[in-house]
Amino acid sequence: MANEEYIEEFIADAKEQIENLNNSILVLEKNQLDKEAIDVIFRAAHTLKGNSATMGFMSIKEMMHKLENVFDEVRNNKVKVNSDLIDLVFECIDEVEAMVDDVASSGSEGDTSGNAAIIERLKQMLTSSEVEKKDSDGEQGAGNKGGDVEFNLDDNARKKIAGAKDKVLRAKIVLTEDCMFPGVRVQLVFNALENVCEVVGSHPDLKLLEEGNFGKEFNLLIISEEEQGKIKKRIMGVAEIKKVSIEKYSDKKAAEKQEISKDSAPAGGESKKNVVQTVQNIRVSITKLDSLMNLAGELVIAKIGLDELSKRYHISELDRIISDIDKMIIKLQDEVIEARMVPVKHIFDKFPRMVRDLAKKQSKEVNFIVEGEEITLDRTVLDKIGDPLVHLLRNAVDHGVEIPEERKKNNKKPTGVVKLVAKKEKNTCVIEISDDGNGMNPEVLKMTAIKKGLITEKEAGMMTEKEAFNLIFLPGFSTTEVITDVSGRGVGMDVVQSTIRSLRGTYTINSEKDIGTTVTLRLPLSLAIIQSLFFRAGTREYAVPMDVVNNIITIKKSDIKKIQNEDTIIYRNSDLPLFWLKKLLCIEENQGDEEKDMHFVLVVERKGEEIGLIIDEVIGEQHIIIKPLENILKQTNGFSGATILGSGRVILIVDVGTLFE
Amino acid sequence: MAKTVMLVDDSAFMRMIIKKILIKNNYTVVAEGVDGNDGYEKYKQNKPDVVFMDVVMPNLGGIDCLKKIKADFPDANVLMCSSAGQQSIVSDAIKNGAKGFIVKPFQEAKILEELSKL
Repeated sequence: MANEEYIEEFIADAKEQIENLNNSILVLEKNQLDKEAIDVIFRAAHTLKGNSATMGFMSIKEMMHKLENVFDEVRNNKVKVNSDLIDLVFECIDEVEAMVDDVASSGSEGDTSGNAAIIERLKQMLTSSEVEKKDSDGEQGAGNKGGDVEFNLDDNARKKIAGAKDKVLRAKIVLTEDCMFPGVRVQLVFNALENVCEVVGSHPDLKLLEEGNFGKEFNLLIISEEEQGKIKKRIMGVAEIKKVSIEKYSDKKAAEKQEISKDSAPAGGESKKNVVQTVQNIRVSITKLDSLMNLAGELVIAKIGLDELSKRYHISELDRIISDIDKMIIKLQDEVIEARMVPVKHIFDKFPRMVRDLAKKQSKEVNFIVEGEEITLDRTVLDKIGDPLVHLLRNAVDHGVEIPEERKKNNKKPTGVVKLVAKKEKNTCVIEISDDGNGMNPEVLKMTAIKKGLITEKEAGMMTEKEAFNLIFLPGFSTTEVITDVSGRGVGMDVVQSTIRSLRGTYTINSEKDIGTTVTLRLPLSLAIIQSLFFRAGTREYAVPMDVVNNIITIKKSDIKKIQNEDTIIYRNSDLPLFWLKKLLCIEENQGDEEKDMHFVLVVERKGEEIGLIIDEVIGEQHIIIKPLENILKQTNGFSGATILGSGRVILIVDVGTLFE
Repeated sequence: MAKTVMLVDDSAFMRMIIKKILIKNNYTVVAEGVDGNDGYEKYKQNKPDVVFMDVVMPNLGGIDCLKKIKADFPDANVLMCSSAGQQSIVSDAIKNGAKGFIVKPFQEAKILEELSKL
């Protein structure tokens, strides 16, 4: 049934099963007796086997069939779980995953040359006494050519037949060529005859019938008050029956003979009226959601236009309509945003396996803890943070957690802990990657950066600890002497940084010697529509995402103090460095601002430390749709995008992260 | 004649395969269960004319779900969805009141035939 329209669903389902396999085998590795995990593996293999057979992907089917057989025996305590089996299952999962990936990209299972060896090893896992389960039942067995059959009757049956005289019938039942489980069909025939007939004999014998161990036809000797026609109808009421013929049974050849050919009447032929189809879930491509989001955005812009029109001409009736539209737009946006949200579980699920493999390769012991899998993120954000998280987790295992001997020396438990935690804070999603390893040494980081010519000694001398930690994000920075194939190539961390920035996210690093390192990422829940603060600096208006503004304060010019030639102010009992935004952006002074004594300051975070941006006027808050800067503007530091107002005016969105570069 | 159908299978793919066939042939899929427990609850809510029941499912398997449904609704029409190699399980299901069965990979004709026999 290999069919284009099913393939997407097949792949989605296959991936889910592979995820189940991966997660459960990890559980089993920790506890070889975990019954639940054993059951899940059995079921996942079973489901994937059936699905791939349906699609005609026979290599996947074959592999999963063997895995299912092995775990059936594990379930029944015939095979014991050991590390050999676990490693084999890991290999098996990898192979199947590769095949599913090939199906996704090319529509076929790709290179299956590695399968035979794994299948052979799975076979060897089966107990030798156990004959491998057949995939199809009841193909062989005693054939019966019909015609005269000898019923094997006992005395009791003979007595009954003698008493019933002409009510004894012989039914010859022929199953369809492709009938599966003939034994069960026999059972269903018996069920159909229950209460109206008594079956006193059969050919072949009942035992063979129940086992399905016969060809495609069988005979029943029955005693019944009912008409032959009605009995035929009852038997034909069982599926996969090709033909039924009934005749009176006597020692002589039967006289009456009737045959009813199967009259296949597909259901539902006549009634096509008013069929309601209930569909609970459908898959929608992300591009569709994107364009829906864009349209919702355009609607906001159109509405703002209407708003300004109403203000200009003072049409109060229009105001009411606009406020209705407003509510609906917000609802629409919420719905679209909601539709785009996906639990982080989708990407978190692949990490336990990765961490396990990584730790094993380096002979480290790692207990990997995942929390907050249910937190949802915009699909676009989720798709992009996968790789950065891989990098950060690799670093945690590779550079953070020490080998057991070293941990023991430092009075630590031999097993290190790596944690991946997602949580919601305000309008952001916080993801923390932490380890309890040896921590980062700021002096070593500075030395390395100087050696590589990334910073000067003077710069290093002025660096705070936090700034030193951020050095690892510089392109070309790598501290490990040996470059492994998993991390430490020095190209990863600056990619992490640029990805997080492109998502309008922020990151902070905390590290303490021998205690460990924690990297905290803050990501916006949604990308397209954000609540923003509009303000004026000099002669220009700008916007800044509300989630980066920690506070808005007013200051007097006379409160500003110079420390090391830099403007600062006391804010919450500590020095807050101040920057004039109009100077940073080289904007002309607006007439009148010069004389003002009061100034607004946006308190924002820059590289983990709070700073103040002096602006001239706060205009207000508004939902805006971010449009990315294209072409030559793409490289502009200090701005993350632009938004178009209803009036058609373009407002740039200030990006604090790159403002000082 | 059976019109409303419920599908109980933990594999969304399998549900979709059967559903497409059913919808094409003017049946109405009124509910879908993802395991035996879900299937039983949804049966109570929807009382479909017929149920397609997978055998191997998490939490509550197909046979146990069949038993539960049959205990409360003796007239329920349940068709088992099995794999090759599950003859004895299907046999057990028939003993417990299942009205028929189909075997993976599913064929449209077989599904319709089972439905027509109810």
